[in-house]
Amino acid sequence: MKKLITTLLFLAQCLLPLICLLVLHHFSLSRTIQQMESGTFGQTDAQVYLSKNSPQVHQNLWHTLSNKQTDLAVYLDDTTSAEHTIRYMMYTGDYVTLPMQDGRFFTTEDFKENHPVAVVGKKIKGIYSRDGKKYLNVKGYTYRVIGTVGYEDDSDFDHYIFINLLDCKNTDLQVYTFDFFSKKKSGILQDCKKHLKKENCKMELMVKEENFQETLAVSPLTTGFLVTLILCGFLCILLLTSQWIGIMRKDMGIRRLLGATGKQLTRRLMAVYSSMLAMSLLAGSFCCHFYTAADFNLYLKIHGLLALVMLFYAYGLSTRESRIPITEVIKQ
Amino acid sequence: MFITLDHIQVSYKTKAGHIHALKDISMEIREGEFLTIMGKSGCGKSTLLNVLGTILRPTEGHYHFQEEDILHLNDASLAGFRNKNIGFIVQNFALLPDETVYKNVALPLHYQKVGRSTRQKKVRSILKQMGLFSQRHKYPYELSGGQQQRVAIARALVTEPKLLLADEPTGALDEETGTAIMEILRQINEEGTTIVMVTHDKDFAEYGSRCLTMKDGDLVS
Repeated sequence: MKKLITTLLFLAQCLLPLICLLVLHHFSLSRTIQQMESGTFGQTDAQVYLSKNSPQVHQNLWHTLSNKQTDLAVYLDDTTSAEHTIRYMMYTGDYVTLPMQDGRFFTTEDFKENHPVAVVGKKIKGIYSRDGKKYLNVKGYTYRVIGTVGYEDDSDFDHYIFINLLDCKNTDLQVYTFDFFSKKKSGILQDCKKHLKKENCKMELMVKEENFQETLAVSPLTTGFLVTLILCGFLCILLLTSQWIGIMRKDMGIRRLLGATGKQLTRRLMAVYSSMLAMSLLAGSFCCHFYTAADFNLYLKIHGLLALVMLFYAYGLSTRESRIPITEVIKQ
Repeated sequence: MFITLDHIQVSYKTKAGHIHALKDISMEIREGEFLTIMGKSGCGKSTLLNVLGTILRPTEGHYHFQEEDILHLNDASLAGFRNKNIGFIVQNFALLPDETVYKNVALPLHYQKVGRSTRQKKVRSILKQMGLFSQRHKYPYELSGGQQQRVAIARALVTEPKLLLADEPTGALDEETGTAIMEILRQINEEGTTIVMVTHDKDFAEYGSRCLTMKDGDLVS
C-alpha cells in the first residue's frame, strides 16, 4: 500500500504543474489566435519611420530596447509579395505563445547578427531539407527554418515568414511597428530616437499609439472545466499527501519509541517529501522541455508555488502525527 | 533504589467521564530484578509499563530512575533518556517492515548519533549473539514470529539499556517459540539487565524473581 500511495503521489506531483501549464497555454493560445488577425499582440502599438535601415541601426535598437526591461516587439513587414508576408522581427522579455505545428518560435537568444533563422507559416512553400535541417530561400538569402506556425484552422500567419530582424538583408523597408505588451512604455520611443541619432538615423512617429480592446474571452464552460480540473488535481495531491503521512504513522511511532524526537521525525519526513517534489520537478521539466520549451520558466514558477503549498501542508500534518501518543500508534 | 514510582496516577477524560487507568501506584524495582506483572485485560498492566518506559506521562505522581526525577524532563530530553536507558519488546514486534534486520537493529544507535564503525560493531555483535547474523539482509516479513521477536530483542539490547520492558513478548508466538524467547530473557537478566515483563501466561510469569498482580488500576499483590 505504501508503495502504491507513494507512486500515485509522485505521479500527481508531476502531472499537476503540467496540467496548470497546459491550461495557461490554452488560455494564452486562444487569445493569441484571435489577435493574429490584427498582426500585433500587445496592449498598444506605434508605427515609426526610420530614415536608415541597416544592421547597425538594428543592433542599436536591440541594445536600447533590451535594457528597458519591458516586454515589447519590433516588426518590419515586407508585403510586396502577393503570396506571403515577410516579417523581420525581434522582441524583448516575453512574447505571446503562438500555435506551433512543429519546431519552436524565436527566443530572445535568436536575435543576434549572422544568425539567419526563420519561422514560417504552415502554407509557405519552397522549404527544403539538408543535413536533417530545413531551409528556405528568401530574396536570395538562405535561412534555417526552426519552426512552423499554424493550427488546425487557417489563420493569417499561414502565409507569414518570420525572420530575425538582426539578420535583415532588405534595406528598402523603413516603417517599423513597435508592439508594446506592457503599459510601461513612456519614454521608450524617445530613448530609441536619442540612441539612433548616433547612427545618423532619424525616427518619426507616424501613427499614434492605439489602445486595443480585448474582445476575446475564453468560453465560460471551458474555463469552468479547466479550473475544476486544476482544483481536482490539487485536492488529489492533498489527499494523497494525507494518506502518505498516515501510512508513515506507525513508522514514526516505532522511531519515537526508540528515542527519536518529534522534530527529528518531522525533518526526516519533510526530507523524503521534498525529495519526491524535487524528482517530480525533474520529471516534469523533462516533459515540459519536449512539449513547450519556451514555457519552462512559467512551469518552474507554477511548480514552485504548488510545491510551497504542499510542503506547508505536509509539514502541518507531520507535526500533528508526531504528537499522537506513542502508545496509540504502536498498538495499530 | 533503581526505580521508584510514587503515587502514580493515570486518568483519561472520555465522553463517559474520567477513566482511571492507574489509581495510585507506588512501587520500587531493584537493579537486576526480573519483575513480572500479571492481571486481567484492562487492569492497567500495559499502562504501568508505558509509564515505566516514559512513553506515557502520568497525570500525577513521581518517577525516579536511579534517584533522578525524570518526569521533569521535556519531551525531547525524555526521548534521549529513553533511547539510552530503556529497551522495549512488544507483542507485535514493532519492527519497521521496509527496513532490513540490520537496519532495524541499528536504528536506536542512529538516534544516539553513534559513529558508523561503532554502530556496525555493536549491531554485528548483538546479531551474532541472537543467532541472526545470517538473516541481517532479510526483511521482517521474511522471518518467522520467533525470529522477528529475536530481532526486536536485539534492537532493544543494542544500546545496552539499564531497563528492558517487555509487553506480552510471547503473545503472538506458539508455546515452544515463546519458551525459547523467555530463555533468552532469562539469560539477559542473568547478565545484569533489569527486566519488567507483562504477561497473561502464568508459566512464563514464573521466570520472574518477583510477580505483581494488578486489578482495576491498582496493585493487589
